[in-house]
Amino acid sequence: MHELSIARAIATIVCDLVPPSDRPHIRNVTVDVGHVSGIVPDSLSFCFEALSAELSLPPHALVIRRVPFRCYCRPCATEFSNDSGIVLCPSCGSADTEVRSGRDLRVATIEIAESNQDRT
Amino acid sequence: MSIVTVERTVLAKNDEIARQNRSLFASLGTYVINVVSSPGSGKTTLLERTLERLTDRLSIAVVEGDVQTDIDARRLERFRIPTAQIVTNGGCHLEANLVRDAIARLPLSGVKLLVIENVGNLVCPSNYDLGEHDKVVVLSVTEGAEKPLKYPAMFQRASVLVINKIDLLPYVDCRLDELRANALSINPSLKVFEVSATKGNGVDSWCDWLSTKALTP
Ligand SMILES: Nc1nc2c(ncn2[C@@H]2O[C@H](COP(=O)(O)OP(=O)(O)OP(=O)(O)O)[C@@H](O)[C@H]2O)c(=O)[nH]1
Ligand SMILES: [Mg+2]
Ligand SMILES: [Zn+2]
Repeated sequence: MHELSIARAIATIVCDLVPPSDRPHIRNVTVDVGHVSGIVPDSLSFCFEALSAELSLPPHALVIRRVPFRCYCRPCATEFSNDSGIVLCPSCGSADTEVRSGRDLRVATIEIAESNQDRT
Repeated sequence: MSIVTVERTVLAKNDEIARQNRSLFASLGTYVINVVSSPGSGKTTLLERTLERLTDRLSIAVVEGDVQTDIDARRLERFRIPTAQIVTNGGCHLEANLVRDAIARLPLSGVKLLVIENVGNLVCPSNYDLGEHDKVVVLSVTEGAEKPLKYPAMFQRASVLVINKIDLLPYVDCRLDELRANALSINPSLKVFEVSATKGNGVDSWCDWLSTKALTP
C-alpha cells in the first residue's frame, strides 16, 4: 500500500504550487496514472481523501486519468496494447519495441476557481 | 477558473534525491544494487551466500530495509562489513531520502559494492528510484510462473532477475521456461540467473557477474 505516500507526494506538489488561501478553491487536481504503473486508482483516491483534511485541500479534487499501456514495434511499425504490459509484438514477435505510455505517474494540471462566482 | 499546467512527475522529489545518491556513488566508485522481491523469496539468504563468496574479493557494504526489527541485519553480523539498518515502521518500501540518511552512517570510502535489500514487497518499491545502478528482482519458484505478468512494473524496471529456490522445482507446479518467458515478455533485456540460495546452485555465476560489475569502472 504505497498509495498513501504517492498521495502525499501529490499533495506536496499541489501545496508547492498553490498558496494556502487558494487551496480550498481547488476544483480538480488531474493526475495521469499509467495502466502498468503499479498504482491502484481507487486506493489513491481513498488516500488523497484521507490526507485532504489536514492540508485543507478539497477531499474530492483528485481526478485520475488512466493512461493505457501502448507499445510500438520498430520492425513492423505497428502500435499494440495489452493489459499486462507485455512488450513483445503480437504480430511479429519482436522484442525490439518501445513503450510509449502506461508507466506514467504525473500531476498534469490543477484547476482553481478564481472569481467569486466560480467559488460559490 | 484558472488552470495551472503542472506536468510534474509525482515522485520528482524522490527522483531528485536518488540522483544525488547516484552522483555520490559515482564519485566514490561504488556499484549499487537494489534487491527487491515479495516477502520471503530469499533476498537475505542470497545475500549471505554472496557475502561468503565475495567479501575476500571486494569491499562490500549493505543497507537492510525492513518494516520491523533488525533480524536481517543481525544475520549479516558475522561478515563484519559496514551494515546500516532502515526500519520503515510500517512503510512498505524504501525511499531515496531514507537511503541517503542510512549511507551517511556508513564508511563508504573504498567500498566497491553496496547492496540495498529493500522491504519485501513486489509492488511498491518499483516506483522509487533509490539511486542504484541496477534493480535486482528475486522471484522464487514457489511463487508461480505467472508473477512477472501480474507485477509487471517491477520486472520492467529491473535489469536482473534471480530465480531462487530451484531446489524446490520437483515439488511445485512451476515451469522454469514459462517463468523465464513471462519475465522476458515484460522486459526482454533482463539478465536471468537460476539459483538455490540455500543449496548454493547457480550462486557462483551470479557472484561472478556481480563482482565483474562492481570491479569494472
Ligand atoms: N528451499 C529453499 N528455501 C530457501 C531458499 N532461499 C531461501 N529459502 C528460505 O526461504 C525463507 C525466507 O528467506 P529469506 O532469505 O529470509 O527471504 P527474504 O526475501 O530476505 O525475506 P524478507 O526480507 O522477510 O522479505 C527462509 O526460510 C529461507 O531459508 C532456497 O533457495 N531454497
Ligand atoms: Mg530479508
Ligand atoms: Zn512487430
